[in-house]
Amino acid sequence: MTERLHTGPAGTREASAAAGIETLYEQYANDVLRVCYFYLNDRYLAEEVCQDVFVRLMTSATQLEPGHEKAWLLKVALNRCRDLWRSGWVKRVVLGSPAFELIPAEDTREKRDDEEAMMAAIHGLPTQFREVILLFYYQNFGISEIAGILSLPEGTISSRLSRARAKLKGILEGGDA
Amino acid sequence: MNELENLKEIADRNLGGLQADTRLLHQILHAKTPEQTKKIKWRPILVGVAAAAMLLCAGLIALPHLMRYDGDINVVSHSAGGETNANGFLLTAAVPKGSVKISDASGGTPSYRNLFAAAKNANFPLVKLGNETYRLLTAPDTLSDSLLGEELGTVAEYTSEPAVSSAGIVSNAVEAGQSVYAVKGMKGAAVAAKVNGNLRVFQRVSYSGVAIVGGEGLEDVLLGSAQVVAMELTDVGVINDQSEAQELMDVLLTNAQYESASESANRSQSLLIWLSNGLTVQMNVGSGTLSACGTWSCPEFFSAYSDAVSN
Repeated sequence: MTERLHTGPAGTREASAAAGIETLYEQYANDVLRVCYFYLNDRYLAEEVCQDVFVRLMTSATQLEPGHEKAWLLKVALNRCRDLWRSGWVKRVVLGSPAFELIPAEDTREKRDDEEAMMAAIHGLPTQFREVILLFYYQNFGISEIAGILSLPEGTISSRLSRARAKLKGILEGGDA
Repeated sequence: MNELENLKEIADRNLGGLQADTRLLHQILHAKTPEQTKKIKWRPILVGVAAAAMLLCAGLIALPHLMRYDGDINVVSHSAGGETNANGFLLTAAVPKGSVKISDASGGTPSYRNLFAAAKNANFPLVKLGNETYRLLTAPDTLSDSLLGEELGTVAEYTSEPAVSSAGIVSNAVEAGQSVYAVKGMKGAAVAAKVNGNLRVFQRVSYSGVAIVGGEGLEDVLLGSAQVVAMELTDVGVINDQSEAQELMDVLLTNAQYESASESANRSQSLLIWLSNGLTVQMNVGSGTLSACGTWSCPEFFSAYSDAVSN
């Protein structure tokens, strides 16, 4: 995905930390970036959030639990996305939301309207439903993991998933749900 | 909907052009602190400039119409003893400054509606029980018997200056000797008492620098144990779906931060909250805050509300 950058003399603590960040970046940055974009529908903001998340990881004393790195990164990213989404509510209400824009890979020639409609519908869900759909169906987290990421009871996550599915169904079938 | 199960594959295909590349990694690795990574954010600046230009244009268009209007603007409201005119309309003086908006009635968003009874002689109609103050609502005209709770006491003093009275229960709307009752399911949020012979509802509000008392939270002073069935936020929209309204209320109750006992002077919207017991309570909205019993900030609620309306 990306080449390693030479950041300083080998053997220093900084270089070691940078190497750790690079490894995590290679593994998870695409997921973080795309989830942020899916949430915000803004490439500039998504990159800014992605950058903030990794910088925070690098500059904080956070010790990531092995196997939970992605959950931590997405938790921080979603918190940041939520803040940005909230701060922009007046703009969205007054100026209206832009249509959700796909950014397919260059080798993806065929554009499928049904897929675009579904992604736009997910992006258009209220944030509490959008988050659980992204984490459950896009990032394949389980209910208990999502409960941990969003700091909510598992029952709430299950309920939101159920309601999110019903809303999506209504939107995709032409109703308002 | 079966495609939802394949969202990972679909999203990766349709967002495959979005790559976390070496440029972004380089920015991360060379950012010593988050503050140093901040760039000049031209987009918000441009949006702000564009919004200001739009507001200026809208103002220039609307100003001549506003200048021509020389009568009272009428706002349809529920009838309330004493403070309405013969046609059942409230005059502009009865609603907060700046609350009347000129807009297209077909726009689908509700115009400002105010359920709080209007002030008279600098005080709104109220019942004060110690530190707890309740303001008269314009609806309902009469409280149903099924909601009438226990008697809390009787009005000890009828006074136009309730703020300085030290009597137990005082009022400037309910005569001395009249009983004040709890409203079932709304302990701490509403009381009832007779005004002009009718049993009327009073909603808990802040008064004379006092809002919540002791360990009370927003739920205690706004809803009691009542359930929400619908909401209306001026200029944003109506939420009729009960589960959605309850979820929004959860957002509000979970995230609202108490700011002060005084109300923001710049209130221009109202949040009407319909309850399952048939009553409706109100919060005044302005400057990003909500006020009834105290002023609360909750950007999460406004964001969730606009999301809910747009969907």
